[in-house]
Amino acid sequence: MEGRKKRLAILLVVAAAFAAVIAGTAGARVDATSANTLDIYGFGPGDDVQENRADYAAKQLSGVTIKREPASFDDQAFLTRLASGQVPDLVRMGRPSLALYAAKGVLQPVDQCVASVKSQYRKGAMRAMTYGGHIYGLPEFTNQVTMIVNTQAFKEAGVPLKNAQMKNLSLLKKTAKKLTTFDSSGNLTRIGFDPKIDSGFGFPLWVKYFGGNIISNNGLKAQINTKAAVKALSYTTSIINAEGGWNKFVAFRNTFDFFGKQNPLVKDQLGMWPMESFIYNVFANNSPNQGIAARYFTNQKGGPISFFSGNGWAIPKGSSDFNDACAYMKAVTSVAAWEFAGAKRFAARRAANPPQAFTGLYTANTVADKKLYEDVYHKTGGSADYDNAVKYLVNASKYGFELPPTPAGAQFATAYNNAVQRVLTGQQSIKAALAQAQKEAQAAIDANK
Amino acid sequence: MASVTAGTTAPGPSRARRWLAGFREKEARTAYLFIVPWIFGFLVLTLGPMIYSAYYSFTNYGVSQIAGIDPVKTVGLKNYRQLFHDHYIGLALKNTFEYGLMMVPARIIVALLLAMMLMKIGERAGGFFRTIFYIPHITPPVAIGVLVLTLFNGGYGIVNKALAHIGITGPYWTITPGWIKPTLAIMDVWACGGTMVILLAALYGVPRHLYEAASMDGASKVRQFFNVTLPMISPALFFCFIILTLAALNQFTVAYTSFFGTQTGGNGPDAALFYAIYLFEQAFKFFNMGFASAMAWLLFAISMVVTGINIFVTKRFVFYQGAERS
Repeated sequence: MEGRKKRLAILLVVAAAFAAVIAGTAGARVDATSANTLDIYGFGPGDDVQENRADYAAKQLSGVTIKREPASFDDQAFLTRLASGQVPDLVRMGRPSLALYAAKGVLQPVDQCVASVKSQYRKGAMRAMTYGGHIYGLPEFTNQVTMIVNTQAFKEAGVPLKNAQMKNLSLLKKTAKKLTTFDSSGNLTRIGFDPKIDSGFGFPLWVKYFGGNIISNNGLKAQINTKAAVKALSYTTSIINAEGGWNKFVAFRNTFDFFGKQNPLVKDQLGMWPMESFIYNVFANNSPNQGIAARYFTNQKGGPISFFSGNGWAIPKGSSDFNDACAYMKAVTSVAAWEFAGAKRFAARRAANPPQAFTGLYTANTVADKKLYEDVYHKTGGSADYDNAVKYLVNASKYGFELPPTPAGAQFATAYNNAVQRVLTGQQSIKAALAQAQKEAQAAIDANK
Repeated sequence: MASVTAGTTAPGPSRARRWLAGFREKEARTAYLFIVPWIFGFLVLTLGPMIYSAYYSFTNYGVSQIAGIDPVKTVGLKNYRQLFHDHYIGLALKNTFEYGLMMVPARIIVALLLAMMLMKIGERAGGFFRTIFYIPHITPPVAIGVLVLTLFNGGYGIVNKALAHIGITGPYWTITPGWIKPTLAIMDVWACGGTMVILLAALYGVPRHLYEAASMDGASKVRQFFNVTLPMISPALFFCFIILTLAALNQFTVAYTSFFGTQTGGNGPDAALFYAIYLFEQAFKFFNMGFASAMAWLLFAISMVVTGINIFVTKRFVFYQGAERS
């Protein structure tokens, strides 16, 4: 009898605990889906600029509770949420992913909702938000690419800064060679010019330099195997070969502490290279007194070109609050949000000990960029080098392009990046590598459109 | 003449009934209670996903199906046919087998040499070195992946600097396609502590009197090794061989961290594209879940076949004490 009572008591405790868990879960679910909650995914806690913009946007939506999952966008987690029916109301993701999700019907067009503001945004970035004739969201940063010049290296090599140009390719190669240095063992001690052909932006940017585009405007036709692409790979490979060859080149580059205090400017490891705009802030923090200059990445005629990358905001199909989602998306990328966050960062940098330069925020909102520059950071608070560099960065945005969205998503980029790798490692000829990439990329597009 | 006919003896309880009868015993019930969590885990976390994966391998399961936008449609053998048309499958399999052929024998040989060395030195020193040799085994594979790039940097890595001291110009281990798999195999050998411990235990289990008898018969040390040690530890060697072969077929973390991480923007060299990495890319980068499921089943089939061949080929070399040699 005693044992029976004991068993009954245990059973009751287990049942009560189970009921409590179920009740708790159910309660949480009710909270998550209540009408006044905007569930945002991919906009987890970030830096001061992100948090200040989030604060600003939240204030614009009165009566709405903002729920931000504390995570950056992750495809697997996003798909799991969709599969389990916990569809976020609003999502921030990398712009290259957007077309894949749009093509698969996961996102909703937002044409009407953004009609009144879309003209503010950079055309290049908006193009990445447009698929099949519909707009699927709003772009955030642009992260435009410019050339970064290590002025110290130029001085040491006795090369005039005017040689930091791209119009004359043979002069560029000569400059690269002059800037390149080796130690007594034949190992590189400075790379004169890193064309960054193996980076995410390198191949499309160099193909653009030679007048081509690696994908058609509608994102449905791969154009990887073109004369411009062959020229792009031939020239950049020849530059790397002139600097000691790929093995030496990449072995040396793998030792760089790019984002630290011992960055390639401080250690004088790189003469000149194209890179995204965020790096100026990093260098301004870690090596504010190191000589730096910005130049445009140009086309063959000397006209500036730049490549954009960044995140975009979109509304998934099944969002329970389309209107608030769109309002938030517009608010968080609005001129006022950027100005609010930019001014706060500028003040924080000024207040730092020692004061730090603020080299700007480069957004996909042209009006915001203009106002930020004019009102906030036309004087960076740093050296004259950074003040001058900022002028290039601000203007470079006007010449930016972005790859049109393609339903092949990551498969498209993988195809051409693999081709670049095969060429650089000497496994394939340029023509064979590009032909293979063209076939793979087009197959991926066809399978997903 | 008496004859024995069927039915002259009463049939015993059926097998199922005997199994069920076992539950009447308290000890049996307790034993089953202990293994219930494992059975639950196996059914829900292993068998369940395996069945789902088998189903998905015959469907077009992808982004729009996961999101519930489009229905899941069966596509017959399309995903399996695609396995033969996708040239990266052949490349990934070739890389995986080549790596396995380097890693498995090298790791077993080095682990055996270390274990034999530990047998020779005293208990105290043996304990110290056992710990030292085991530490790489417990190093997280992601950390090993990062170490690969640092240690084996062709121009500035410690390995090449050490080789330079003895007059050897080391290769560009992590860049030259032909050196990538040997580099990963070397790192695997470095982390052979787990294999070493298994073989060490097996070596301790070899009866001393066998060596004494062999010695009295005039057998040299080499002869003793081949005629006493190897047969006596052959079950452990066989176990290591099977486990390492399966590990080689599933190589992922170290190669992915070294060659497909942030340093390369996720685009690694073809020489480092192992089967498990390509499977991961298809599933979680390109979201071709149906195709990735078919890939997983091909890997499963290959693992079964390779293991079967291993068992078939090696069983005549494996000696189990107390069992007749098959």
